[in-house]
Amino acid sequence: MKNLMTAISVACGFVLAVKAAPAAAHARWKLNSTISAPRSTDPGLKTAPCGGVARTTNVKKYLAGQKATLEFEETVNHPGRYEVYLLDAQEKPVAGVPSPLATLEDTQNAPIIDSKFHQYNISFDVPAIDCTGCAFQLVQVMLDNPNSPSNYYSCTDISISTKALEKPTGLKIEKLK
Amino acid sequence: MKTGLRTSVAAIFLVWGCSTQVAPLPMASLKPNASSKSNVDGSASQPQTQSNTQNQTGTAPQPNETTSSLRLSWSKSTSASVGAYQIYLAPPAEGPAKLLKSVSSGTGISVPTTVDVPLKDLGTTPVAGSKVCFYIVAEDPETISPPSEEACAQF
Repeated sequence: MKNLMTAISVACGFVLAVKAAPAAAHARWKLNSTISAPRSTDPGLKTAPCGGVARTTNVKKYLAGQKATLEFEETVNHPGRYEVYLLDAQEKPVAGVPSPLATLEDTQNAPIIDSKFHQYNISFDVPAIDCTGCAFQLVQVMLDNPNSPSNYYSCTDISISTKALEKPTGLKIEKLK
Repeated sequence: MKTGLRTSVAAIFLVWGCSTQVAPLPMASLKPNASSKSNVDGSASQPQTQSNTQNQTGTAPQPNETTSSLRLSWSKSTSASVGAYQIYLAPPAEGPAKLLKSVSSGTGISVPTTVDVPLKDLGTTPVAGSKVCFYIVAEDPETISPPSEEACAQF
């Protein structure tokens, strides 16, 4: 009987290991977000700075110095933190701005079931510079092994302008039957 | 016989034991990105005002109502280069705004200053007693404007 239980334990361990193998941390700018859509739907991009995904035409414009609130999602749970960086048109970190622009601890650690991903918002001040062809880079720093962090990357395309159009005025709402 | 029984018991334990230990693995969504518009997120920096609210009939918590859509209108910008206005649904609290629509001009046509937003486009149906707030942003190919003051509809 002892041998039998040992065999069961070993078999279960094997099954668990096989099923758990793909469970690396994944995160990306939120899919279908109208504010911060990711370049790629893939949440498991491990190649810096943007997973090898080319720039898109889905570019969000920002005013220099404005407050930005972006949304992202964790698709596989792991401990760690999130960082946002500003990348230039060559996908290099922009010098002379806070680096990272923002940091957020991973505070949601329940298992993710049925694609109910952990949703996060992150806010920061947009640097007061002109930046064309730039991107906000989301980095998920996975800390299952704190001595050997593993990162995931997701980029959303943006531009920043120090010039502004005139602020719209007179906004009114009417209910229609 | 004894060995066969042990094997059967082991198989049952294996299936049951493993099935109770392994939670379903999450699957990443492969839905395509629906948005292809350009814009700005300026909601967090905007004070919320109700000065422009019209038709705030929603004092009685009626299951609202016969409203099918909201008509937003605003003043024409004097900025010659405005090519589009972006319509944003303001977040009820801290958080990102949601871009609902972009209204732009065709060649040689001035940019509209009115847009109808069907309630179904809000994502959730407003409940009685709630309000939904909007702001707009002007845009040209190079830059954008600060967000307008918010306007709210009471339900």
